[in-house]
Amino acid sequence: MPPAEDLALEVRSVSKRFGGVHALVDVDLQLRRGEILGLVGENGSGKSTLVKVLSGYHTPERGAAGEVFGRPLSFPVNNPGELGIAVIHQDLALVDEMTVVENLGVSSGYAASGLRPVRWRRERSRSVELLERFGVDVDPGARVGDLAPAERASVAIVRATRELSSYAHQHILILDEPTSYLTGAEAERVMRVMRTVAESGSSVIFISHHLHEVVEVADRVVVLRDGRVVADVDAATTTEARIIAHMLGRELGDFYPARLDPAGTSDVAMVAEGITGQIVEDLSFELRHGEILGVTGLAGMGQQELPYLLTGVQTPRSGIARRGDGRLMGRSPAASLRAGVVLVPGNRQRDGVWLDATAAENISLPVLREYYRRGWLYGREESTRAKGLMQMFRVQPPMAEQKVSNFSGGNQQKIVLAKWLQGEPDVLLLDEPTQGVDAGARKEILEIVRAATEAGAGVAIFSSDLEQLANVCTRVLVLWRGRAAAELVGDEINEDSLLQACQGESLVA
Amino acid sequence: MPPEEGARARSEAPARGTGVRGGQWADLLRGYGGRYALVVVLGAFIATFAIWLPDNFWTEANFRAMVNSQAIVLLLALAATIVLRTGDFDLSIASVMTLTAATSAVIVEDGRSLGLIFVVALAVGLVVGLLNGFLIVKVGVSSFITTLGMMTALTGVAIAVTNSRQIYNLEGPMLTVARYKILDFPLRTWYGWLLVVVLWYVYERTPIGRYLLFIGGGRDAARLAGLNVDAIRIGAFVASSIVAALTGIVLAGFLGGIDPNIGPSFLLQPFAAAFLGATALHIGRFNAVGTIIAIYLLVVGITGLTLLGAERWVNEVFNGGALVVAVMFARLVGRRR
Repeated sequence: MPPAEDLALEVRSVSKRFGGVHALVDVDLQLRRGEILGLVGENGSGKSTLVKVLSGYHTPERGAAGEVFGRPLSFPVNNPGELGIAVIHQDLALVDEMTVVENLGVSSGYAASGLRPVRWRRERSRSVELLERFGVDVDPGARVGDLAPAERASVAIVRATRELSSYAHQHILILDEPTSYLTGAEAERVMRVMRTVAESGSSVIFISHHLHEVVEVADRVVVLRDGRVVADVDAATTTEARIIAHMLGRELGDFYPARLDPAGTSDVAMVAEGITGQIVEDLSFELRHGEILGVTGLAGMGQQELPYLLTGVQTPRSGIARRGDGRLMGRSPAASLRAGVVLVPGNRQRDGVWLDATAAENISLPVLREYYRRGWLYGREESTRAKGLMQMFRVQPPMAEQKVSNFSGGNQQKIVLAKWLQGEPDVLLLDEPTQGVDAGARKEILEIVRAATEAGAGVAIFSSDLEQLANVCTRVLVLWRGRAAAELVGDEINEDSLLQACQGESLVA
Repeated sequence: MPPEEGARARSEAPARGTGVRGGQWADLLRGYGGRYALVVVLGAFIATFAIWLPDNFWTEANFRAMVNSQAIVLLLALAATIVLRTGDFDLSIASVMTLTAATSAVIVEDGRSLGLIFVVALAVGLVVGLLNGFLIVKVGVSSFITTLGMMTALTGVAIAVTNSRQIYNLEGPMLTVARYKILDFPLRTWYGWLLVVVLWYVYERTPIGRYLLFIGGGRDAARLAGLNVDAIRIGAFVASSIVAALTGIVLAGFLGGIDPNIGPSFLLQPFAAAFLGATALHIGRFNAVGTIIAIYLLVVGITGLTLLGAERWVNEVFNGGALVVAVMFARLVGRRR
């Protein structure tokens, strides 16, 4: 145990129950000064609950104790900012319409009080100095909405340290999945900022599903499972596989299901001709039954727009999509569903489900008419069928009458898949299907996708997760500024070749 | 779906700032007890006043009076739930009712047939509903603003229809429509009860009821699930306008005429009842049975206090307070942890 003066934060015996569910059980956590602590665990393992206890959102059960920078910590935590604790959530809470300088100052009231005028020149020079100190190379006058994702994350971190520095010199930054949507190179930039923060003597708690990032940047890794700390290891001596074993409580075996044999590919399922949208430019390609086609590229190259253009959620400026037999796929989600095309959207909580409805209500929504006969909606039949589907798609627990918001991210995604795969669609378009999903659920989800493909569906995965695409796709289309820049098939596909193609290097070669 | 928004999706509910927390209240309300809290409160009100005022409150005449006094408000509150379920507001219902009450009164004055009253009312309901729906769904104006403007404009039209007069002491079959008694309850009360049953069926036992709910809560998810969101939203505005328009005939029959300035006084109470009703049975969901319970809760409270000697102003305070309390309850219950 390190001497007390080295500790930035210590909590002991933190427990939290929700109804009958034990979200946290007797958790002890220590954070040293100048340390980057990786906090990992599957969805629902208690990471978020722990963060919310530290930020004062949740009150832990009686018996919890702790110190922060040597001072006793009382629960519920009141005004964490004054204690030197700041939490940066995935959405970063930046104002897109405002400049970097305005964003950096907003939470400190621009160092002006009441109705006194803001001294913008001083604000600007302070911002420049801060950005330089953390090695963040952005134009202070740029609109935050125009920045690259990694720059936005960095600005959020810099802002948090500025906010805290009005209370204390040393801080605790809790980063809740700041790199979830970043590609490898972008995440590296954010990690550099995290290291600068740690070198200045402050401490960082880094929460991420990207275990290789955690292993790379963290000094120490704490693993939560079912609300308990199950491992506390030195990052330098551990591996991704060992961490996953701790998270799951068992060996995962392979991270991915075995890749499909491209020989299983058969006739054409879908043809896109000259699709043009905001980013996507005159794109034509085919999708065949029995294949898993990956569509990827760097952030903003069009792979996130394409599935919505194909299914009429967004109206393409030109171009059409047809089924293999020549039928048009239609210009609305309803029409493409009738044509046997299903889109599993990337923004699960907005487009995939309605969180306040039950799992059964969400799953049955596209097929609700099947339960409506002779003027009566048969709720019990709906619920029974939903429960069966939840078991088939390994939703834990398979409670059809629970609100979707009560399930973890991975289970929510399985509910979304159950909702869309129950009709055995002919063409399945998946936008970032395992985003925000832990390793165990990710494998199960990809197994479900693989099974649908083997059953004959034409499947396309639109994603920036190159590792995943390299492991599951039979063919990958790489986009560059909305156009197809490269196509890789079968054995050509690996993470390196995809990364190269994404950088546009194949255009040069 | 703009992809850049998708990329910023949160995977977990964001932590809110510290401060006042409704955790314990929400726990209480979220439990099974919460679903029936409104019924329990109604029962408690009745019991309290019955013990306190056995001679005034606990009489058949008083109960009949309370129920019948709420006939019009009940019809409007049920109309309000249709659009509220889709996540929009229709504030124009009270004025649609006033307008068709005015047209009905004028038609009776002119000695024309009862059939014409219905044709005009249906036409008014259809036109106003389509206009609201078009402006809100197709043009994209906020429903609150659109229907607020519509409310004021239609009040003006109603005044024009009656030529700025108050019309009273009409006679004829229109009165029968509202006043004829079955089992000693007037028809206007029966209409409300019938509409509760119809809307309960539509909301709970047909796909369209579920669709309305998904459009209100998860509009994007609903669209991606293949629902024709625009058509259903416009349909909801048309349905609520038509119910309000037919309520106008009942109102004219009940009053034996109309004061065209009466509309705004019917604005708040239906919404108070609808929001309060959404804290019962299906918490956070506008529903028909909860709404009628809420209406009776409000009238019992107001009547009891009035019989205890409270002044007339207690009416407004109670209704306004109920609206705020109902929205606050819904907020506490809906708050995720």
